[in-house]
Amino acid sequence: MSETVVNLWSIPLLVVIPILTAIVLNLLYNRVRAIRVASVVSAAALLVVSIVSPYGLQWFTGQPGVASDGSYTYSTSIFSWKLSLEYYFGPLQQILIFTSSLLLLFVVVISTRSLKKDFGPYVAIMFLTYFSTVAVIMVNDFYHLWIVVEIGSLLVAGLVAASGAGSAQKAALKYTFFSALSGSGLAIALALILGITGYANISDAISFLMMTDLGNMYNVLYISFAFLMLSWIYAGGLAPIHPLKSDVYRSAFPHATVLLQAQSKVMLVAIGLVLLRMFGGLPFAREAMLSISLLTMILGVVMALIQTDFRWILAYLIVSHSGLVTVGISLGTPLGIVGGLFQAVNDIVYMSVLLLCCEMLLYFNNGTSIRSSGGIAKKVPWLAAFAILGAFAASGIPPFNGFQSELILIQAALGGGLPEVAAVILMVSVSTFIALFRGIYSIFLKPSTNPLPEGSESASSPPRGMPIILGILVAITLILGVYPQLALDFLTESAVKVVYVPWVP
Amino acid sequence: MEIKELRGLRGVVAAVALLIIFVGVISSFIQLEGNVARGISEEYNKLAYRMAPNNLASWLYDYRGFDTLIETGVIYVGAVVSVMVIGRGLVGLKGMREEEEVAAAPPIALKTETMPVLLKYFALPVVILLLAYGLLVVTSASTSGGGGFQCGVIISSAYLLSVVAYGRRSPLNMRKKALVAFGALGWGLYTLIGLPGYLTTNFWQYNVGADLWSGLPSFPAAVPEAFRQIFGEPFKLALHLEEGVYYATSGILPIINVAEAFNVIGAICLIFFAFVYGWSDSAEGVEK
Amino acid sequence: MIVIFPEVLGEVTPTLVAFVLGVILGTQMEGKISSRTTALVLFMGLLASILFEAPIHFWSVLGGVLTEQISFAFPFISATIGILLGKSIKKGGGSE
Repeated sequence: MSETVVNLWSIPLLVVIPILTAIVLNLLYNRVRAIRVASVVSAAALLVVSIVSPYGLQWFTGQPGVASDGSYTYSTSIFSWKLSLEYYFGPLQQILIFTSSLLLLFVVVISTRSLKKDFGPYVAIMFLTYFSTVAVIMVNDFYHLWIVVEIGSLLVAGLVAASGAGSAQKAALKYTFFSALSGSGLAIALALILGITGYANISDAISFLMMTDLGNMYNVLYISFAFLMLSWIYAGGLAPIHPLKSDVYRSAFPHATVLLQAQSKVMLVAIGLVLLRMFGGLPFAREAMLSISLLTMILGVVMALIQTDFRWILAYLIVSHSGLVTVGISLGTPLGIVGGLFQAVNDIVYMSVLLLCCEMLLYFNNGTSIRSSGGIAKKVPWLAAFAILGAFAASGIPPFNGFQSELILIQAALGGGLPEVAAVILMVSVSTFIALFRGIYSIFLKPSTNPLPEGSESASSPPRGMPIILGILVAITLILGVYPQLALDFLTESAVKVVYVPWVP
Repeated sequence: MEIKELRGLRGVVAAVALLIIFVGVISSFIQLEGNVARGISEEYNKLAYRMAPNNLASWLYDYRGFDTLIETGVIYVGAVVSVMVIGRGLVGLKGMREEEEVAAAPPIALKTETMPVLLKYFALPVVILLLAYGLLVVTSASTSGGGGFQCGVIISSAYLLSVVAYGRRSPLNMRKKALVAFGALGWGLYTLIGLPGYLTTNFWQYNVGADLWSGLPSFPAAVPEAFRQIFGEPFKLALHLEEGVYYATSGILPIINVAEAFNVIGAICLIFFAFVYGWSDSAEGVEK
Repeated sequence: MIVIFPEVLGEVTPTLVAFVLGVILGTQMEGKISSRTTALVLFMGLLASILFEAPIHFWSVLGGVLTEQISFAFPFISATIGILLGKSIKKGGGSE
């Protein structure tokens, strides 16, 4: 095996193309055609880069590492403290970035056709959201992690506020208010870690902790763990913060929520893995993470059961399924981590199917409320079919991908001696089915009670190509459900590394 | 959140939580007192003089240059997003009926008639001198403790002074489009300055002008002489050190600072603009 | 190449950069400016540039250093001139 390169060409492209596209789109402002071409081309380019890229590191600004004898080196086979900012692109990064790129492409295709008014800056924010997603999973540096989480939460507020509705404005304002709190929390965690170790690079900080006896400084480590976990909870919308995050999910346009949920799940994975690598050895650390995850799962799914609007149901289910991702990661065993990561990939895909169906409901129906609708299956059979398939995947029914990852999670929970956790996972899966089919039945299958006037359809023509996009996504859920090994090959190595060699990115 | 909501049990819980956080943070800072690990900062100090004479500039814009790029993005995105949260949204779905828009707050009425004469006649020279001071700060970024951020806020303060003193007839009259363009172009220039390093060495934002590292045997690529001259020579300075005269160049750092300055001007002035004139697409805000 | 690049070009470049940026900012200004104000600004600019002194690590006359005690911040003066120039070329004749 050849040595890992430290100047991998693809990493700068993955982060710089979205930034530059965003700037160009901002300047184009309202030139519809140009925006459409520029954004679709750039999203496609990102997808291609994520597929063809080899694995390796990028040391931004190209400063070398300092070897233990004080000499400078660019070789990864020699142990060195890094002077520059480090990004890592590996199999886990590849599959998550590929999924996000695919979703970005779809969302851009849809939104540039369906939006009105000056949507240049709006699409720009979408590209920046994508940037925060890919950066957070690749970064191997505490300081940069803080900045990316910060810009990520600002962008969430921006995407939500852009839709201009009063409730969206409120949700965005609330979210930015709390983002100030959690951002400073992460900054304190960073300051404490820098104070103890002196290294911002995550690998270096872990190596330092392994080489040095902290003595009575251990409680500083605990405090920094607590603050880092606060930002984890916040970025992913876990338990105590879940009303804020689900408010955000339901107030944005559903196509924007596709990107938002992908972003928050990738952040959960990225920060969760950092927590495990850095603090996994601390007593009670994993237990704290596990209890937050369980709480999120249960609260989310219970809230989803009592909602009367399809958008709300989905918003709470996304939160609840974030808990499934983090349960796997907090179990801390290789199998558990693989399950969590696989769940993240699956979740991003099947939630996108459901959200895009929800977006279509805005065109074919009088909104997404359960009460005011009915009989869509007769009017648009393909939409009903996709919604039902998506719901099957989300509730973990066999030929689809949700089944595979939940199976792994249950096995990992049982293997870890925690049958209670396995029971909760099963309960969430069943409740998801009930919550979704309650909505789907009354919107799609129930005979229409108050038929819409025929004229309303001509005013709103849904974006074309939607059946193709939904078809591709559903096909992915099926393929991953039948051949889970396709995805697991990407994930196993990372999970094993996190457990056994945490200092390796 | 209203104060009313913090009464009763909720308030007690919040107070206890704050107390725990406070005690935790303070106790760990006390423990760290005198025990802070130096870590990588020693290495940075050792190397700093080889690039910009000002250590801070080399840290901020070279060793952690990509961090600062994203920080710059945080400022710009923060401005755009807060303007959007304050004002109204940007987009709607085609063919959908819109919810009632949030009523925009009327722009602040500035009465310039009551301004003291002294302020009215001296504000313009002061604004021009403030702009010049901002430019002095940004151009001496690599030698003194100045830079793009500082220049940006100095010039934004000139903008605010001008608006406050002259109201709608403000002489420094940057429009919304100009401000958005300033911010975007500043961020774009900062991003693109990484390109020379990327094209020659595959390291994004490698400082081709200063080029400290291509002599190392394990350095993976070569920097052509032409790049070294174009980006290095214009900013070469003679440092009179105890060991003798040492010629150093900060390479791409001054260009980064200029870009940074434009970004900050765009972002901060945009926030002022939104507060003073309101944010609407139809009217440009001024001159009615 | 040595013809284009004197040994310590870094002392000259800031002055030029400040001038160009001054012109750019100057074009963003409107309204009329009287010759008395112009003279006032230039005078105060000169005064301020003596107070600011040349940036540290500047040694030559090109960098603004006359003697150890007296030196000028050339970027400041060139920025002031640039702003006034930019103002006059863009919207100079605009109505008050």
